[in-house]
Amino acid sequence: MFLKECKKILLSIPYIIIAAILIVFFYTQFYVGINADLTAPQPDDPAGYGYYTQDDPTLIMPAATDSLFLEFLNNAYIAYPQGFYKNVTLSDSDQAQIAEILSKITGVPTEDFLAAEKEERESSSTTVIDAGEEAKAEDGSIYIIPNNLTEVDRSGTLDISVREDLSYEEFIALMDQADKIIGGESYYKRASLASHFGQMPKDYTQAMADYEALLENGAGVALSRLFSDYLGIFATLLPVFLAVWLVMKDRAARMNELVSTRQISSWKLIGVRYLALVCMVMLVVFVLAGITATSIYSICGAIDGLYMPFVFAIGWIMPGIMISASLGMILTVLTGTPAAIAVFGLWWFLSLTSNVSNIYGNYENFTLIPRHNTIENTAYFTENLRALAENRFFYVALSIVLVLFSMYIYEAKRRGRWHVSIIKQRSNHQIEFEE
Amino acid sequence: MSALLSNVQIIKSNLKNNLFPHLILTLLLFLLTPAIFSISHLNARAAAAPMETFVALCGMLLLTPIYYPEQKGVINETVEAKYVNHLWIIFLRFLTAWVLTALAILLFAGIMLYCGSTITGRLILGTFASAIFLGALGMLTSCISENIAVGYMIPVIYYAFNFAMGPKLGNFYLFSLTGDSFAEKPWLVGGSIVLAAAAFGVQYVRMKRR
Repeated sequence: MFLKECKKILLSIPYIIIAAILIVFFYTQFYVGINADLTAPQPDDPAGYGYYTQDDPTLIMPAATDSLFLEFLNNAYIAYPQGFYKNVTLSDSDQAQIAEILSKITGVPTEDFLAAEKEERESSSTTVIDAGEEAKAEDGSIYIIPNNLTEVDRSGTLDISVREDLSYEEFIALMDQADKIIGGESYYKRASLASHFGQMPKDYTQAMADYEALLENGAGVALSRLFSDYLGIFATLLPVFLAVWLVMKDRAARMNELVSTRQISSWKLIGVRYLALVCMVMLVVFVLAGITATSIYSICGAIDGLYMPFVFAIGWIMPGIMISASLGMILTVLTGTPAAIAVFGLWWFLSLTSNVSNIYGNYENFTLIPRHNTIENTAYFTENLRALAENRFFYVALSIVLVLFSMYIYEAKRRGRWHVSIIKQRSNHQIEFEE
Repeated sequence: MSALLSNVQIIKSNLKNNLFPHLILTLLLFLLTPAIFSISHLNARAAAAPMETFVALCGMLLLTPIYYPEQKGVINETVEAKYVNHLWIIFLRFLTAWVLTALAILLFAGIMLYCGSTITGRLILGTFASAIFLGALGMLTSCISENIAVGYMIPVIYYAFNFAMGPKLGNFYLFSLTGDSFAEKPWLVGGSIVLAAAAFGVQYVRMKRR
C-alpha cells in the first residue's frame, strides 16, 4: 500500500509542480552561488568584500542616539513588525517618555527635547512619510528604506552627544526601553542595534581570514546550512498543498464512501498516506542534497562533512515538511475544505516575514522556518545548536500528535460520529438545484 | 425578465453556497493587514506596500474557487445536463468574483484614506491588476487540475516568487507600485484576461468531450 501511495503521489500534478518549484528555487537561489561562496577572495576586488557587524559602542552609541533623536523630532518611528515597513506615530505621553530616554542618554534636559519637537512640529506642514527607496533582503523580502528622515534639516534643533559617563550596558537598556515604547522591532531593539548601527566594510585581510576559517570549520557544514536555509522556505510551505490534495481527491472522486466500507484501518490508511507524502517530498530534497554534496566535492575535494547535506536535510528540512503535511491532513480531514492552505499559508508567511531582520541566524522561539542565510556566522550556529535541535524536535513531535489526531477523526467519521461538520456544508445537488 | 431573475438567482446561490467562506477569509485578511503594515499617514508609494503585497491577495481568495462547487464531487454530468449553460454559470461566478474583488479593494482603500493615507486611482487600479492576475492564475490551474488545492498552489508560489525575484519578473511583477512603476499593470490585466479566457477554453473543451 505504501508503494501504491508513493506511485500515486509521484504521478500527480501537484507533486510534479512541487518538485519543479524546489528544483528551480534550489538552482536560482542557492546552486548558482556555490562557486562564489567557496572561492577565495581576490586582492583589490572592485566589488568589495561585503560588511561585517562590529559591536563597537563608540560606533553604535552616537549613531543610534542621532537616529532616535531624528525620529523623535518627526514623531515618525520606523519599525518592521513582520518584516514590512511600519511608520509608528506615538502619543504625547509616549513621546515624553522617549524625550526622557534621550535626556538620560545625552544629559540634555527632557524639556529641551520636548520644546525642540514642538518647534519641529509647528514648522513642518506635513506629517506624511516619504517611503524612500525599495530594498530587498537576501531572502527576497521587500523593505522600504525611509529616506526623508536622514534629510531632516536639523538647523535650530539641539546639538546632542552621548554622555561620557554612560556605560554601554545602560545605553542598550535605554534603547531597549525606547523599542518597547515604539512597539517592538524598531532599529533600537537590543538584538538589532549592532546590525543597524555597527556595519563596517571588510578589507581583503578580513575576507581572507573568514575564508580560511570557513575551510577550517568545515565548508560542508556551512554549505549544508545555507542549503537548508534556502530549501527550507519552500519545502515547508508546499507539502500542505499535497496533503490537502490527497485528502480532497478521495472526496471529489466519491472514494470516501468506498474507503469507509473497506476493512483497512483508519490508522493504517492515514499513517501510510502521511508517510508516503513525507517520503516523496524528501526524495526531491535528497536528490538536491546529493547535487550539493557533489558540488562541494568538485570544488573543495574530499573534505570532511561531505555527507552533511543529507544530515541537514533530515534534521533541518524534514521537520518542516512533516508539520506542513500533518496540519494539511488534520484540517482537511476535519473540515473537508482546503482551509489548511489559508491557515498554514498565513503561519508560513508570518514566520518568514517576522524573521526578515534576523536572516543570518535565527532558530529561537520555535520559529517555523529557522534561518541562517550565510555561510558565515558559525559562532551563532555552534552556540544555538541546542535551540535548533529543540525547535526541530518540537515540530516532529507536534506533527506526530497531529497525525494521530487525524487518524482519530478519520476513524470517528467512518464510524458515523462527527457527522456535524465544522463548516456547514450543503450537498452539491442541492446547490445545483438552486442554480 | 425571467432570464435576468435566473441570473440573479445564480449569483445569489454562488454568494451563499460558494463564496461566503472566501469572503470571510478576505475580511480576516483585511483585519490582519494593519497588524503587519502601517496604513495611516502614508504617501501613495508607501501605501502601495499594504495594498499590493497583502490586500491584492483577495483576488486569489475570491477568483480561485469559482470551479470549486463542481470539484466537491462527481456531479459534472448532472450539472452539464441542466437547462442553463454551465459555462454561463461559470462566467457569472467569474464576474461576481471580479466585482467583489474591486469592491473589497475599494473598501480597504477607503479605510486607508480615512486613516490619512494618500490613495490614488493608480494605486487602486494597480492593486486590482495584481489581484485579478493572482486570481486568474488560480482559476486556470484549478480548472485544469480540477482540484482547488492545486488551484491555490500556483498563485501562492507565484506570490512568494515575487518576494524572492522582485522586478526580475519583468512585466508580470506584482509589487511594481512600491517601486513607483505602473508600466507592469496593463500587462497584468492583459495576462489575467488571457489566463481567464484559457480557463473558459479548457472548460468548454472538457464539456464538449464529455
